[in-house]
Amino acid sequence: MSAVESRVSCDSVAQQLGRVLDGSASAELLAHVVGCDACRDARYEAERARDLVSQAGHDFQLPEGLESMLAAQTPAPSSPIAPLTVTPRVAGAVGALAKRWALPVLAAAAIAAALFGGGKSSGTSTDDPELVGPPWRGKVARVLTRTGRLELCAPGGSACHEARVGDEVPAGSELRTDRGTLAELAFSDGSNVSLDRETTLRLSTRGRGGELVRGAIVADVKPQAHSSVRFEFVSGHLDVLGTKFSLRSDDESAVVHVARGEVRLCNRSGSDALVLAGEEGRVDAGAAPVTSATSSLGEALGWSEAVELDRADDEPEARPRALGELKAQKPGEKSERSGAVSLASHSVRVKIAGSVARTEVEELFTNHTDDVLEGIFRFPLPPDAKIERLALEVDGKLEEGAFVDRERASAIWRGALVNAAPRLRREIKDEIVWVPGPWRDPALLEWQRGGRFELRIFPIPRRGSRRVVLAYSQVVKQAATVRHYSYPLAFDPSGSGTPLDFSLDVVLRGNDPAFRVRTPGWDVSRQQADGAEHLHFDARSFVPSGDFSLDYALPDRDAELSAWAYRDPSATGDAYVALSLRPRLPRQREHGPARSVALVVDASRSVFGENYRRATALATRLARDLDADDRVTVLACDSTCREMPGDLRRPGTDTAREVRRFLEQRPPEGASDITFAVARGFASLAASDRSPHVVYIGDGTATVGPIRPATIERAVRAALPHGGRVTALGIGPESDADSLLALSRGGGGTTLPYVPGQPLADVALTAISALFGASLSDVQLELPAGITQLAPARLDAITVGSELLVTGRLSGAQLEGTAVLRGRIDGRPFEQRYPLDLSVSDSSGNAFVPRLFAAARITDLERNGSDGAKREAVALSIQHRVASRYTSLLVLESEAMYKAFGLESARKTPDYTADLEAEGDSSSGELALSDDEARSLEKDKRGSGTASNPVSSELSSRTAASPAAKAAAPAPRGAAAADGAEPLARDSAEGFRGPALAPPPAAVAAEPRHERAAPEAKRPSRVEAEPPFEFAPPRPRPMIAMRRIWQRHGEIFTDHFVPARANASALSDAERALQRDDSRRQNLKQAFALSSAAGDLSQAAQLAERWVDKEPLDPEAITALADVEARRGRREVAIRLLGSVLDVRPGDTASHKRLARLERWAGHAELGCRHTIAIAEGRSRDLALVADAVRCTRALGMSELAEALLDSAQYSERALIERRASQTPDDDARLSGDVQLEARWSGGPDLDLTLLDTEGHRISWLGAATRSVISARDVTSSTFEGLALRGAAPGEYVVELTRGAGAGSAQGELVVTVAGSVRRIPFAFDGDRKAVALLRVSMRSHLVTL
Amino acid sequence: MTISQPESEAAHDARIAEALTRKDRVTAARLLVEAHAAALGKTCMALLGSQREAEDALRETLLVALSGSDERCGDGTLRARLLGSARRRCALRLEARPRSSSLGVPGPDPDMPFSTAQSARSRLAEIRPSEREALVLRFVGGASPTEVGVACGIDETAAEQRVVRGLSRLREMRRKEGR
Repeated sequence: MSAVESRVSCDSVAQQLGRVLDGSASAELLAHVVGCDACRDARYEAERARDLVSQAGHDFQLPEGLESMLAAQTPAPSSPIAPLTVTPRVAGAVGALAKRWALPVLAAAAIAAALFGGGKSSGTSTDDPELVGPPWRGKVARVLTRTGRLELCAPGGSACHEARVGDEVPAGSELRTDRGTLAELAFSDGSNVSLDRETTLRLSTRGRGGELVRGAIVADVKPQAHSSVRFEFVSGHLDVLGTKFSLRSDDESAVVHVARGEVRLCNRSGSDALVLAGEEGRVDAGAAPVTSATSSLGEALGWSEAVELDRADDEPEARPRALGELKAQKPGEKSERSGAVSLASHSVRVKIAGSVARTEVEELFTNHTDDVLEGIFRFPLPPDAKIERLALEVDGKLEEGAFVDRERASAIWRGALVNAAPRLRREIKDEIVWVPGPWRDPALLEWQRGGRFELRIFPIPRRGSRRVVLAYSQVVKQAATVRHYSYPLAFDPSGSGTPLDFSLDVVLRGNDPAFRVRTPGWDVSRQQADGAEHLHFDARSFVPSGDFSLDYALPDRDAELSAWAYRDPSATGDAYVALSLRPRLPRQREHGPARSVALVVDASRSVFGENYRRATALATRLARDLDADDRVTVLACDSTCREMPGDLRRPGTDTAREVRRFLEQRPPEGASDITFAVARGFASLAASDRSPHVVYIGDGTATVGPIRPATIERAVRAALPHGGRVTALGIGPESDADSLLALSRGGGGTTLPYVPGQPLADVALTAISALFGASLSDVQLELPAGITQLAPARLDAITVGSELLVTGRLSGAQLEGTAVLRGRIDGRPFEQRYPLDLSVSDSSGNAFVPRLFAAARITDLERNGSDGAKREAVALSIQHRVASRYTSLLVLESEAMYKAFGLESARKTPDYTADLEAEGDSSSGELALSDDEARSLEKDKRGSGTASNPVSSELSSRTAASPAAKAAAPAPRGAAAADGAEPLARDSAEGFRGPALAPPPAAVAAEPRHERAAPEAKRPSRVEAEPPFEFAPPRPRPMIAMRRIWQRHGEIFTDHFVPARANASALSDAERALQRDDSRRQNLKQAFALSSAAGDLSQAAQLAERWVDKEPLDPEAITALADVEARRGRREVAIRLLGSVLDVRPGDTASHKRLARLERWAGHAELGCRHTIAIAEGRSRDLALVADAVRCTRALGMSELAEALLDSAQYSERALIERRASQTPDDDARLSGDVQLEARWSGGPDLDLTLLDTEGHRISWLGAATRSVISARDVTSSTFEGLALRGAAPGEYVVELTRGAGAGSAQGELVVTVAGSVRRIPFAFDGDRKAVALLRVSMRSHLVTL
Repeated sequence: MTISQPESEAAHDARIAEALTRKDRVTAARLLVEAHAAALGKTCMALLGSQREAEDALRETLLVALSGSDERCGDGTLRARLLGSARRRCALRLEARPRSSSLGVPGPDPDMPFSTAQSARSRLAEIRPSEREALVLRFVGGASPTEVGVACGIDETAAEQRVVRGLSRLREMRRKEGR
């Protein structure tokens, strides 16, 4: 055997080692192995490796009863029940598996038992004689405790012992949990009962049910014919009518919240009341039961989710990082360092006065490295929290921050960092002012997205610490009769779970002392001092594991309206007024209308990871917990939607599983078109005769179609069917609250924004509550004269139990009269009146009122988005110290620096400290209309044709409603009055007085000072070094002026297809570089580009997947994966991935245009147009883009969107847009450029022409990240395609044919033209891709005469 | 190269298909469990390292097969399709894990004692996910190169290359450990 032969054969063995191992290699190869020592060694080692791998699953134990479980879980109408009678084997032997799988089996067994008369009653006690049917018996399904226990006693409370999971629970047992234990019982009929902490439950011996001695339970009761369920408690009992509910009882009262079905609540005297889903019922000792709609289902039932057996996900819920993440970076570096800076201590001071809370947080950051670092702390806050203070410790003293225009603050901040990173000086042209002394110690706090903020601190000295204080205020929400304050603490302070010093102080004023303040799960010390209740908690080495929450009640908690007014005694001008309204809405019909619900889940790339899991879990819970009379389906939507196959389903556990399965099989990818998703949701319900509801679950970030809130609202309204309603659920801290609000406004429903730290169960139950509950739509509030500039400018629908806050300016010293709330509930008119008698106060306890006004007004202005609105918002933010999207909080080192930047006036201490209780007025309303009157009013309205728009809402004062104002106003609630796009001028037209604008920030010279500061004299002069041509001494010969021009030159090869740059050596170098340091993005990118160009698609795919895995939101990585998928012949997947690029980089107009063009070329005109709409919405000042969008929307019949686009433009520009929209667009399907490819073939498949460059780009009609201009034609034809590139960069390109669609082989000819060189190349195609030529484009220069 | 299934296995799969066609899911479930559950379970265990998660992935795979709802069934033998389905389900679970452990490192199962299997998994965790999958499908799931290709959605040659590369890395690892 020659050396060469030997090497070749050994290489072959190495390449086919797998086949060598199993003996399927060729006989020749196997023979070689026998005779070659090296190959035998290789085989031996490979065998050891194989043996190792084969052990990897060896410890798997096949579960017993698997066949039966599969049979039971697979829908099989013809299957006999007999195989399901495996319960004993499952329960006994399989252990943990059985617990998770046994429910269907147990349920089936229970049905069988019921059918065949099993489980006869063994009634042994004097239980309620009205109970019929077999009593509950079952098992302990789950116990959650650290140090406590669940106690199980025999009937009568005797013979108690500690119960463990799996223990039998006989009928009549008494169960007790201590303060640290939650438990769940699973009964043989399929019902579950969860026991809260400190609960005692006695089960009945005479039927299903029992006595709740104390504490709380959540019961999910399976309905059974001829078998009732009753729970007794001190003040009465309740009869369960097949439902899920919570029941809490103490010595004086009992409260029931119903999530599904209904219960009948009775007191000891026999009075009763029916409590429906979405309602709460209360029975106090000696009083009749009362019911009301509830907004606190999540709170009442949420705790039970922790122990519930049949959780659809069966995974612990990932707690959101409620207080954020901490990173650091060295100035001048681009990458952030994780774990370099940690939070060493965290102290919280909370002052609550009545319903307003002010939270001040003091944090100490410690740098563990030897570098001076910039600390970056990103944290979300509750949606209604308004940041008011930022202070940084400088030389032992706290320096207060100033609110500054965001862009200016950012420029000043970057200027500060220039000192620390000198090489940035040349790149940054920001505002730099030189002041005496070293520049150090700044801090910057700015809003990012959704409810997310970012705090940057510099410098954090090496191995040193910095202290920072920030404060925010909020209105504490009331649920039922209790106000609930929460401080988010479920966070990872340093990324490594480092314990920290923690302290928390709460001072509570104005609460009802008769209602004990509760801090569930927190052992706080308490004392009364200075007329306030003080609570304190202190711990060292503290690792937060859950939010701090505090429940209290106000003396006037039953009041529906509370009002406060304030005038700054040191200032002149108007007073401010704030009204908090919690209208008691009438009950819905006895039985709500049957609904069909489409759960529209955002499956776009931006929800990748935890957010999508959360959305999936939420959809799953809704599919399980909606009312059994409802019907549900689910859609996973990006720029298109996929609906769960089959008919609408009945909510329940099975449906929940299907929903989960469906969503898990559709990983998030692509762009996001939220209005299309909602429209598709309604379309999926079109065949149903039920009331259609769409529940949107996502981040609300639209990247395709309408993206501005005002347009989103109009688009949803246009798609809304009769009786339709949209509920929007925010997912993730970066969710876009404005877009979500626009969805629900357009759909006449409600929005539940993402709340950091809120458990998923709470969200799901609150959503169900919102779906069940009545809501007041078309809301109008009429206020006594004297109030102007009301904020919010527009009222959203009010759901039951929710609180509405309205603010304004007050011209007088007194507000007296009646507030009238009007609206519609289920189409019926509603009106309620509240007497008001409010005096303006100058007490500092009321100083929060101007801030509430500023916050509400700023929110309105942010939605408006115009330049004028921005100016006003900045002024308000600075004046009232309220954070906005347009301002940041900036701390500078010294007074001198504030003066240098003209910021001293923007810096002052907070006005409101929550040290005094507020003075105000409260009242309750009376229904102004009886049912008859309401009907009469309805009739009148119909008759006079003045019925209000079903979704618009209006806020008015008597001033605003004056005849003059009405005359001046345009159509009162017409479409043009949409809030977001409404020009500010409307305020004056309606008689509102515009705010007194604060003077704009002092102007500072924009000239970059660093240029002046640079020592110019020392710079080498270009003039001295290289004298210009015209100063050269004249030459004796005449010169001819020539111009050098560059021309492309092309070569075409068909004998090799691998570019020179992607040769084997370059590939090895790239592979080695990657192996040396696989954390460097450039190494990965280079290896991918070369593998791709070299045609090693398998390796390129691996690298692209790895890249995406490392950087899931990197647009280049996603594009690389899209290119790979396209080359694999999976064009649709590739297009979806390209949509993902948009979703992670929404403002990328080039990517938008790429998608718009390819969708149009692919024949998807509507989708292409929706991209064009998004481009126009994002760049509304580019009239050509707006005209393109108007043209295509009109062509496709989307006239409502066309009008919305025109409305968003300035009036003076509309004519120009109209003119441009009427012109015929340029034909971009005509091939042009130096590189042109035209292929003709026969055989059937749709082939795509592709050029691969050595940068890793795939250039086709799908576009590419290249500056060259791509044109293409007949892109979906099965016989011809053309592709051209104008301005092709010099280099080598592989020409490849890929399968776009269709099966089979093809034969044809490719005509390649490169800069005048033409070549005809015949080809035969039968795989997924085929390289057919290699092009080389080079630039050659010539001199030509001028 | 194509490796045909043994006659008995092909016939067994045909019986499963026949049972499904006549909607006799009880029989189909029995036959499916008899022929494929053990290999699928071991494959999931090798990829996930958790008995509980492996059981769940196995159950889902078999349920999908019984309901006929897996839209990606495509071509290939029943075993290849089942292994492909199981692979996807395992990948989803791995993806759902925290980032620190989602890059292909099988999650620990606190209930499991340290074993040879665990040792094997810990070594497999150190190689690329695509290669690990190919090795596991081939040597734990018992798939042929063609079936590995079908299960991974790649062509047969690429599948075999992944197996070879995976073996090489394991050999290299063992050499470094001095074995």
